[in-house]
Amino acid sequence: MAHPFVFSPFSDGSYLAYLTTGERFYLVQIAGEVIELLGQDHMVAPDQDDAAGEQDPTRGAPEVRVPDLPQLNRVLAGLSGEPFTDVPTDPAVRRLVPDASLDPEVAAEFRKFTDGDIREAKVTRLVNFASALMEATPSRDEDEHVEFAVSRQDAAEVAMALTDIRLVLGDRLELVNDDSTEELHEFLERTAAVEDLAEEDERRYLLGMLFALSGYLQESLVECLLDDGQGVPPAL
Amino acid sequence: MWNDPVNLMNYVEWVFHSYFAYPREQAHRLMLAVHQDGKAVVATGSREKIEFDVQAMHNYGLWATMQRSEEG
Repeated sequence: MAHPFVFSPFSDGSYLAYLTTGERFYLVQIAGEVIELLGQDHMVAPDQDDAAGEQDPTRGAPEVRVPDLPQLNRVLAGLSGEPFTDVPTDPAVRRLVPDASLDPEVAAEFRKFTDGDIREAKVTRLVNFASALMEATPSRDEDEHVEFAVSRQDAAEVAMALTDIRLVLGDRLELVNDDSTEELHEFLERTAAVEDLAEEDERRYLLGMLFALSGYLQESLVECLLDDGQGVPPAL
Repeated sequence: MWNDPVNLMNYVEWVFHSYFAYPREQAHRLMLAVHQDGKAVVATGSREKIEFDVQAMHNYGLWATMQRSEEG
């Protein structure tokens, strides 16, 4: 397992963690998946489906989600395309860009003005995080831990990217309360060999290990930030 | 601010500390209040300020909602 973030011994104001090439690869992959989720899922809101369907039967089934690359590219390019104004159909996306009010009307109004900016900021952070992870030369030795340095300046953004990754993993792992999170950790601890697991448990194990890894990295990074007395919020 | 089973306690504390500039002890207390009670009021102010804060919290991956104060 990765070595958590610590202060760099070279007093260059950075924090260092050590990751295997495999861990790096999985983190890049999940970051890519979260980016893809943020670039899509702007289907009509569930409560509007029926009405829209009646008026216009060609409006397509909201259940089918096809990756919308132009939309993703607009998000990536930071251009203002059609704003995302509908409630996301994927619960993980709804957690990344949540409702700002328990009143649906207020939430919809808020979403109209903020949803695009929030998605764009999240995508940018995840792209930067994935790029940083890919900077290290891959090692042929799968047990070798290669340094992952995060500058003090970038640390907040990395911590935030890790949160978005964990929110998506948490949804896919059906972590609905503190008990289910506890259960997942117990499951990971008592699982000795992934080969012996049934298919469904194997998926849970792999996603769970990634959830634990990203949490481990985030917790140690945030500890560094808190000990460093950083009080400056990252730019929105 | 609503509790969730994903975000780490020290991350939530760091967000309150770094974004709202609350002292560590206050940030820690608020984090515990959210964690134990399921939700807590973490900021109050004008509609414009709160809208800005809610957007920031969503950016941090925390789930915040806004509501009009009952006193008006």
